[in-house]
Amino acid sequence: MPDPTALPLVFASVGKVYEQSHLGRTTRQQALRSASFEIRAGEIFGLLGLNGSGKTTTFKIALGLIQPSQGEARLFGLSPARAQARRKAGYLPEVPVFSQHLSCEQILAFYGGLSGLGGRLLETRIADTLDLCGLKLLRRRRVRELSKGYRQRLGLAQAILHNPELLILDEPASGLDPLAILEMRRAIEHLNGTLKTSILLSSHSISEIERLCDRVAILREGRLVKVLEKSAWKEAQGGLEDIFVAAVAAPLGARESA
Amino acid sequence: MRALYILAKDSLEEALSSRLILVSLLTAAVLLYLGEAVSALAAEEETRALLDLGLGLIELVTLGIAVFGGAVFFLREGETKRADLILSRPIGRARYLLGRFLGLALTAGVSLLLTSALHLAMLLLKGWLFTPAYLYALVGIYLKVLIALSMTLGISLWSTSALAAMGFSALLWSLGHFLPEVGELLGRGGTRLAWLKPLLWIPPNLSFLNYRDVLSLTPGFPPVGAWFAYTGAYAGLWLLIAWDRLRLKEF
Repeated sequence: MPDPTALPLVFASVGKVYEQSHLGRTTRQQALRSASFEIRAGEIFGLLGLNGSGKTTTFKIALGLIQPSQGEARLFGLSPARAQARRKAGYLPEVPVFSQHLSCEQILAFYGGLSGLGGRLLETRIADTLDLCGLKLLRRRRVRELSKGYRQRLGLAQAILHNPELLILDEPASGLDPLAILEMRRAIEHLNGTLKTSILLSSHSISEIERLCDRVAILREGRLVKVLEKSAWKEAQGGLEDIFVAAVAAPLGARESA
Repeated sequence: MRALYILAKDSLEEALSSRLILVSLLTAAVLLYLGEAVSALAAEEETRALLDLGLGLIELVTLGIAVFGGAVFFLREGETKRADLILSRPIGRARYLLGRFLGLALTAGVSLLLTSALHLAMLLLKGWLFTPAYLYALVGIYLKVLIALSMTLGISLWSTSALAAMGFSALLWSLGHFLPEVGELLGRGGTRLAWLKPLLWIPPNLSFLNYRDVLSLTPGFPPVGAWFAYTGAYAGLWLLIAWDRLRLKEF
C-alpha cells in the first residue's frame, strides 16, 4: 500500500541511459543525469528545458513506464513500477492518442475502468469531468471528429477522471489556441486550488510556467541545473525567462559552477 | 479480472472497427463462394471438396487475422503511445499482455464463427449431413490459431519489425504441421543429425490439432482435453516469453 504520508514524487540521483542495438552496434544516449528533486503535496512543480533536455524521460520514470539506469524514483513512497503506486497518479502525454472510433464518454469509461472506477461512481465521474473540461456537449462525439484542442481536453479529462493526487502533464498547452490555453490553465488552477492536486508539468511557455508554478526545475541536456522557488523569479529583474536563458545558454561548466 | 475484460473488449472493438477485418471477412465470403464453384469440379465428391476447401480457407483467414493482429499490436501501441496511457494506470504488465491476448483471441474467434457459419450454411444447402466432427475441426483450428497468436505476440515483442514477426510465426506454423515427418527424416539420418532433434521441441505440434485433415475420413472421437492442455501449455510458454520482454519494454 502507498504510504499516505509519503511525498507524491521523489527522485534521488536518477539517471537514464537509452541503449539501442543495431547490427551488433550499441549506441547509448544519456537522457537524464543524476537528477534529484521532490514534489511536495499540493504544489505545482514545473519542468523547463529545451527539446531533448529530459522532461519526458523524467515523466516516464515517474510513472514507471521506463526504468532508471541509476538512482531511485518513489511515487507515493513506492517504486513507480508497482501498479499500486500509480493508483493516485494521472498522466497527460504531449500528444494523447485515443481510439478513433470511440466517443469521449467511451474513452473515459475505458480509462476510468482501468483506474478501478466502476458503476455509478464511474458515471458520475465521467459527467463531472466532461463538464470540467468543457466536453459536456461533445460527450457522444467520436475522437476522429474532434479538433486537436478538444483531443487535448479529452487527454486532460482521462488524466483527472479518477481524482489523482498527483497529475503529470507533459506540455498540456501544446498546439492549443490562446482561448484553449486559458481554459487549460483555469482547469489546472481549479484542480490545484480546489482539489489540492499536486501537479508536475512541463511547458515551453515560460509565461504559463511563471503564472502557474510554485517551483520550477530547469533541465539542460539531462542535468537538473536549477530548482527555483517562486520568490526567486518574482524577485529577479528579468523574471523566469532571463533565469532560464542564462541557465540553458551558458557554457555547461560555467553554469554548473555558478 | 475487470481490467482484463476492459482490455480484451477494447481490443476486440478496435479490431472489429478496422476495415482490415471487414475486408478479410468479405474476402473469405467471396472465396468460400468461389470454393463452391471449384468443388463442382470434384464430381461425386463435391460436398467433401467444399468441406475441405472451406475449412482450409477458414483456417487461413482466421490465422491471417490473428497473426497480423498479433504482429502489429504492440508496435502500434508503442508508436501511438497508447501503451503509455494504459500503463500509467494501476495495470500490471502481465495483465496488460493477457488482456490484449484475450482481445485478439476473441477477434479471431469472431472471425472463425462468421466464416464457419457461412460455410456451414453452404454445406447444408448442398445436402451435407451435419456431424459433431465439424465442430471438433473448428475447435482444432481455433486452438491452432491461439498458438499462432501467442507465438506472434512473443516474437513481435522481441522483434522491431512486424514483417519479421509474421515471417517467423509463419515458419514455425509451417514446421508445426510436419513435425512427425521431420522427426522421421532426422531419425533416418542417424547420429549425424541427432543433434537437431531437440530443436523439434520449438515449433508447436500442429498436426496433433489438425483434425480437419481427417474429418472426411470418418475419424474417431478427438482427444479434446489433451488438445486444450497442449494449447494452454504451449501458448502459455509463448506468453511467458512475451511477458519477459514486455515487463521491461520501453515503448
